[in-house]
Amino acid sequence: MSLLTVTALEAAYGDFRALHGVSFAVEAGEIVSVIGANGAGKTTALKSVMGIVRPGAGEIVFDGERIDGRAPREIVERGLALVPEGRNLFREMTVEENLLVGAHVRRVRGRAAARLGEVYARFPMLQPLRRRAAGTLSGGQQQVVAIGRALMSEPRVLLMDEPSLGLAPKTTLEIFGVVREINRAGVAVVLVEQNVVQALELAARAYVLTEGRTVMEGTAAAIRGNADVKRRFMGEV
Amino acid sequence: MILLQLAINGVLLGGVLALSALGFNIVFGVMRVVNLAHGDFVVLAAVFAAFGFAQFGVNPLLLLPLTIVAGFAAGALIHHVLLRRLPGEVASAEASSLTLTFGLSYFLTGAGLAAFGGRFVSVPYLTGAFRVGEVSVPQARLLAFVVAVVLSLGFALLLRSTALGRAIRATSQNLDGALACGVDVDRVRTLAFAIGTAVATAAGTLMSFLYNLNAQQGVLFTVNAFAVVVIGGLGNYTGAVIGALILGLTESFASYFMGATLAEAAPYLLFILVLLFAPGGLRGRRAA
Repeated sequence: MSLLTVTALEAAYGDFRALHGVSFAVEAGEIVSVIGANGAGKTTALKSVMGIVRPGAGEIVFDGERIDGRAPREIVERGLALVPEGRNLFREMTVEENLLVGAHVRRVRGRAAARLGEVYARFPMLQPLRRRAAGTLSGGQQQVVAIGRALMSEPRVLLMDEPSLGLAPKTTLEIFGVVREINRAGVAVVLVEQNVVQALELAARAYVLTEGRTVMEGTAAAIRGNADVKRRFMGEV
Repeated sequence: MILLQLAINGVLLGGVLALSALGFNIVFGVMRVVNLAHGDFVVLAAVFAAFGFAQFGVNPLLLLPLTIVAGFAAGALIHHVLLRRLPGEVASAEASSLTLTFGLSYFLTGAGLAAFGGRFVSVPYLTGAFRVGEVSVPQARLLAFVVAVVLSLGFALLLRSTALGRAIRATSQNLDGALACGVDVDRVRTLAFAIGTAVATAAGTLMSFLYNLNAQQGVLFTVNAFAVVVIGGLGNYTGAVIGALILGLTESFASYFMGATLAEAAPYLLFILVLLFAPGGLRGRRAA
C-alpha cells in the first residue's frame, strides 16, 4: 500500500467545484509530480490533502488511516507538510521565527531547537539570515525558508506547490537540487509544477490534471513521451 | 513649565491608552474583527474597581489579577460561543462580526448599568502628587502608567518570545501559512480574543484612577483604541504605542488650550488627519 493515497477527491469553493475526481499516490521515499494547466486544481488538491480545504467527497489515506476531513493540525501531526504556493511566509517575522512556527505541532515542539539546528545544517545559507524579516529576502531565499519551515515538522511526505514560481532559471535549478536532496534523505515528495520538463526529470512517476480531474498517470518517462503532454505543457509541436 | 507639565500628563495618559489599544489591536490583527465592545470591557472593569473600592475598600491593584482572569475567561467564552460561529469567508465575517460586537456592546452596557447603576464613579486612590520644581506628577496617574507599561511589556514578551505568541503573529500575518504549519487557528483566535479582553479589563481597572465613568462610556474607549490603532497602523504593535502617545499628548494639550469638550474631539480629528495623509497609519504597510 502506498504511503499516501488520494482517491476520487472532490472539493468546492462555495458553488465553484474545483475538483471532480483527483487521484494520485506516493510511495515512501518516492518523488511524484502532478502537472496541469493553471486552474486545473493542483493547488486545491494539495490544500485538501492538508485539510486546509475541506474535501467534499473521496478518500485520503495516509499510512493506512483516513485523514480526509481532519484538521490541518492533526494532518501535520501525522507527518505531512506543505510548501505552499507563493510560499505564504510570515513576512514581518524573522527567518528563525518562521522556521519555529514550522515546529509548532506537538510531535516536534519539544525538539524545536534541535530541528532548527538540523535545518540550518541542511541549508547553511539560512544561518546568516536568521534575524532578517522574511519579507525582505529574495524570492529564492524565501523559497528555501518555506521549504525549511515545512521540514521543521519532520514530515514523511512533503507536498510542494510550485516551488519554482517566480524564480530565475538558475535559482529554479538550485531549488530542484534541494528537492532531490530532501528526497535522498528519505522524504517522499509530491511536486506540483508548471516547470514540467524539469519536474519530470526529477520525478519517478507523474499525474496529469485537467479541469479538476486526474486524466493521465504513468512513469515520468511515459508522460514525457506523451504527444499530448508535449504539445500542451512542453511547448513542443 | 506648563508645556512640560502638559507633556508629562500626556505621556502618562498615553501609557494607559497604549495598553487598551494593544488589546484592541491583537483582536483585529488575528481575526480582522473590529471589536466594538472593546470599550465596554474597559469601562465595566473601571466601574467594577470603583464599586469594590467604595463598598469594600478593596485596593484596585489587588483587583487587577482578578479582573485580568475574568476578562480572559469572558473573552474566551464569547469567542467560543459566538464569534467562532460566524461564516468563514472574510467579507461576510467582517460585516457579521461588526454586528455581533455592536450587539455585545449594548448588552455589556445594559448589564453594567443594571449591576452598578448609572452614577459616574472613579477610584479616589493615591490622590497626592509628587512635586519636582514647578511640575507635579499625580501619584495615581504615575502608578497607572507604570502598571500599564509593565503589562504592555508582558504582552510584548508573550507575543515575541513564546510559541503561542509566534502562532498568534503567524496567524495574523498569513492565515494559509499558519494552517500549513499545523497551527490550530481556532484555538489561536480564541486565545487572542481572550487576551484582548483581558488587556481591556486590565486597562479599565487603571482607567478608574484617571476618569469619572459609568457603564455608558464604553464607546469613548472603543473610539480611543480604534483611533490609536489607526494612527499607528492596524495590526502594528509598535505603531499602537506611538499612536497612544500621540493621542495622549494631543488630549493633554488640547484640553488645556481648547477646553475639555474640544479635547474629546481629539481622537476623531487625529483619525481624520491620519486617514487623509497616511491612510496606512504611521507605521502601517504601504498600500499595495
